[in-house]
Amino acid sequence: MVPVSFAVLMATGIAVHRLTFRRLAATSPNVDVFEARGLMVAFGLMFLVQNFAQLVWGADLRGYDYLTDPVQVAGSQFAANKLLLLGLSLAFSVVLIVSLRMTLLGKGVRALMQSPTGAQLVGIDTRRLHPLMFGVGLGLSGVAGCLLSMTYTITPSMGEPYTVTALIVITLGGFGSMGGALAGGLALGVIEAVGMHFTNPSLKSLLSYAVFIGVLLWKPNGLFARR
Amino acid sequence: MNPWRESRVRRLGQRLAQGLLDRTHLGRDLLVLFALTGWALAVPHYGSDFVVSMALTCLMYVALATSWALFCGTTRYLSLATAAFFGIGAYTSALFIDSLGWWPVIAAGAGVAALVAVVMGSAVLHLRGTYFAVLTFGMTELIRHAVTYWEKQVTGTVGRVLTVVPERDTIYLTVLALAVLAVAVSIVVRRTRFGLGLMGIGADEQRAQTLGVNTRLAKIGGFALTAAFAGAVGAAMSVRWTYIDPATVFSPFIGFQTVLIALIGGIATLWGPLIAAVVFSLLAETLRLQAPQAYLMTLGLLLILCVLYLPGGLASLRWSTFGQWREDTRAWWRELRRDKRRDEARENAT
Repeated sequence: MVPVSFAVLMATGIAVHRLTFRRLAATSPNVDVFEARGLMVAFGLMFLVQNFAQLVWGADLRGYDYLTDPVQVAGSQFAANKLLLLGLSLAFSVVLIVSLRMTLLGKGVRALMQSPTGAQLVGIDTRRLHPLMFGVGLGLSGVAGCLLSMTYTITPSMGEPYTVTALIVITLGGFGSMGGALAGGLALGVIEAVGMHFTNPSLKSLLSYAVFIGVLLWKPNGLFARR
Repeated sequence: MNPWRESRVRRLGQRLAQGLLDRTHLGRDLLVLFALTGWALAVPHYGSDFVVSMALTCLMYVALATSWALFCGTTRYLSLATAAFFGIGAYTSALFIDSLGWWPVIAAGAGVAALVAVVMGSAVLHLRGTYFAVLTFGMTELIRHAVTYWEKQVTGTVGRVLTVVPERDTIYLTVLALAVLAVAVSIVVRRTRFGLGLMGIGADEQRAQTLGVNTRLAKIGGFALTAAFAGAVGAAMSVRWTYIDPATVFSPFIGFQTVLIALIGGIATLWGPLIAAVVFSLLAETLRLQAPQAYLMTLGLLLILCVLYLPGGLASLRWSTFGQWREDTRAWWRELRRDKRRDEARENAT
């Protein structure tokens, strides 16, 4: 199911990009305005998709069993599907980072992030690459959703906490830094788990927001930003 | 730039500045406000309970959206923290309504929210754009979780029931007064040095600083003003709801809906948020009963369409806008046809 969800969401992503973000990029006077408007459009899309799902499938909790047998690894017990989840998500991150670093396509994407106009000048087809990257991003979030559904019950509104977590992780790592996002995500998970162990489970979200705000105030460009 | 054009630009600038400080517009705005107030005052006398509660929702969003646009519309700082101030006001009112009177409680809600805004603002207002939006959202969630935790640990319950409740008409008049005050304040502020400074920050912050605006003070002041209104509205509405818990009064939805209404109405305009607030509350009340999902889907769709095709908001809609759309659509068709023809030509060539 993982490749299917990737493909479906990638197609959706390209379609969404074509319908909304292309016009948005064309009409916005500068990057600041584009970001603010993009955020608003994204929230609008969230309302739209979430409530569409609720209308069609109802708001019930759903779930299924897949690979739930425990597995012994180095003296500790893990559920097999959680191990699979860890392995696959690490693999996807590594593939993404390596392809961004090593291939020509990745080089083009990094150039696009640095300066869209400059990338166009040196012969990168930004009109094709930008939707493609948008599609890959959405496709990867589709993979994440697919993997999550193995271990957790699913509802139409399950995405909201993950949106916030993703924002926190990205700002922790610094916008546009892949390794930073990976490290930030792992760090946030560890801080949450350790903090909960030492204090109180109901402090979990309090802790993650406190870390987020602290980091942003202390280093607004992210923990791993290079200047 | 040629001299003719330069003089035209200068004249345009002068006319704009005059328009802002103009007495005729001031008179018109105040008259419209006066008429609307009179009409809203009459509602409890002839309307049923349902009509009054609907009008109350309208007024609540009018106050929230207008005060939000007062700061965020002019400076273009996208704050998602309205829910935080609303919730703080609601909790202040829940805690102190027994010991203080009705009006002191509203003032206390406004005061506490403004205080929090000053602290929050001095910490985050140096960040711009997405960072500011995300950070204010994070702060709201932090405050919500902190209040939930405190309620769970200290008082042992999560919700609060308000037992001492004033009459319906008192609440209605209070919220009406707040809404009128919000519109009046934004009419006045637009014409003061402070308001022009805020607008300057929105246009170009560094330039405003160079021209002698104390941007830091202006931003914190504006943010606190917005927060004070949200806090006062929260204090008044919590009494109307009679049962509050962190999930409802700090609901991010309040913040989003305020932003949405202001955006759809037109953040830089005076009457846009008001019109959109009334339209939306009516739409919400009618649609929510029949199809709650359809309401939220409409909201999302409208938001997207508005940002894409009407960035100035509903209040910027003129007859020429429709003409512009027609032009756009035609240009798009032409481009599509040209692409198709080019593809065909390419195929024929190979």
